[in-house]
Amino acid sequence: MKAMVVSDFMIAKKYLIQQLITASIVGVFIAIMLETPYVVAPAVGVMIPFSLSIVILSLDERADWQQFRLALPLTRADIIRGRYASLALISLAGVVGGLLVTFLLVALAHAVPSVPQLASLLVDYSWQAIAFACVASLVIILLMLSLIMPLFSRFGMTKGVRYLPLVVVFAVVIGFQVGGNSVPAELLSNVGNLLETPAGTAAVAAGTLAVVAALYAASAALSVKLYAKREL
Amino acid sequence: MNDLLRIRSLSKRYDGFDLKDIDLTVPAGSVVGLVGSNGAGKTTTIKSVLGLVFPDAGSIELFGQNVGEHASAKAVKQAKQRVGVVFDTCSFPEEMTVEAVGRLMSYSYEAWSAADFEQRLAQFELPKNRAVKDLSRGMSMKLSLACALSHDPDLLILDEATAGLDPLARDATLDCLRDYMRDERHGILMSSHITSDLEKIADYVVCIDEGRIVFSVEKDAITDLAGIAHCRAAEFERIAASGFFAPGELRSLRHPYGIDVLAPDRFAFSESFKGVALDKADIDTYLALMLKGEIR
Repeated sequence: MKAMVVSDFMIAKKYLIQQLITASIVGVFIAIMLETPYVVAPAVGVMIPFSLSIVILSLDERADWQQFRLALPLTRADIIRGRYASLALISLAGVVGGLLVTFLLVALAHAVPSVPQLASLLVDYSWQAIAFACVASLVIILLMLSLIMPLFSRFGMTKGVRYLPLVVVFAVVIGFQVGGNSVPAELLSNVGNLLETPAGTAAVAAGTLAVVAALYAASAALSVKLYAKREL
Repeated sequence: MNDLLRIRSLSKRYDGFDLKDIDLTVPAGSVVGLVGSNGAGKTTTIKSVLGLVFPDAGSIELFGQNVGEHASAKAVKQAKQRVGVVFDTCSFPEEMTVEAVGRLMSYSYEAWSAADFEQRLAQFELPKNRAVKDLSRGMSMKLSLACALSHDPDLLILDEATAGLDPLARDATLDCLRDYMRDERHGILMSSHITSDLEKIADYVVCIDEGRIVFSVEKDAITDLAGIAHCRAAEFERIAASGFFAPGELRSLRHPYGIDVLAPDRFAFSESFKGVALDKADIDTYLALMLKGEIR
């Protein structure tokens, strides 16, 4: 499993700086346009892991790398678990990157308040909202990966992409069904109230992350089963 | 003599292709060459050994350990620790440097020797900081070979590893393999279209065609013992009528200027047919007669 994580990071390292710069420019641009610093973390935190995941997954199919990797002393389960671990770590790195860019932008706004585009970022500034934005970006990317990884584990990137719209439509429909029918309005209201306080924000963030982590683990377990039957 | 690899009755069915009852053994201290046309089943056999595809029937043992059906993932992983693999392309991610590839391998193989790898890089004149995508075909295959050898494997599995290399690079590769084979515990399974390479290094030659084993013989039985007789029509008829060949054993190929006959024992053949021109066989001609020859 360690070999798998190392190999993914060696590939990711090559593109990390390039992606960080691109995502930061996009994040800062959107933040200034919308006059809020809270969009930086999700922009950077989703863009970096998403693009790096696609790069890593697509390189699997180049020059028979995925075949050769399976010829190494790695079990099929090692490969999938390692892949999930590396993508989770890259997602965390994306959030940390997003947080850093947010802090740099806010620091710049404090340092040069005379620039109106920057000054507007400090109106209603709250660390709770920043934390919530970070958690949101992690939730978004982990949910996306949970959805696409079983597909790519079974079919590979090239073939898996063909089925992706189908899975997304099903996920959205199921999401709406669960969201519309199963979540009581009272619960939503209570969550909203919790977000008003720092302790409540931390609790909601921890709870959401726990649910998404469970989904991610379930997706990994499913991918292990699917990859076990795949012929390369 | 212990067998490093033993395949028995291996079968695998695809749409339009059927690998059937493959028996193949790589004894310690020997190089087994796997020959056959494209799509004959060589790569499917190798993929089955490496666990890339799942056979429908048959057994596969590496170092006496079952790695086929019902084998535990842990057992397969342990067996692969003792195997070095080279495919027909350099399969490492193209953005990695040569040095990074070595680091990656060190996390994969328990017995990885960084010193051995460094020494092979120096021997092959491979620059450590060059990316895989910037290596020439010859250099990338040398890198693959360096990676396959630097954990001192007991068995090397090479799938068309010398394809696309120039003669000098092929000779260098063969020298490296000969050096590896100095240890009698080692063995090589080598699939190749370049039969001249096999003539230089193989101990046994196994031919697969249309998913079946056509022949499995010691290389010397082809290159030292067998012969190709070049006959005219009248000579051919005399040979066929002589009873020298048992029914179904006479293999011949007709050319515009004559008929080639495969003589499994050229010394016995030349004793019986003194006037017939006879050459030593090579694997290519032997293969052609075995695969395309008319049987009588």
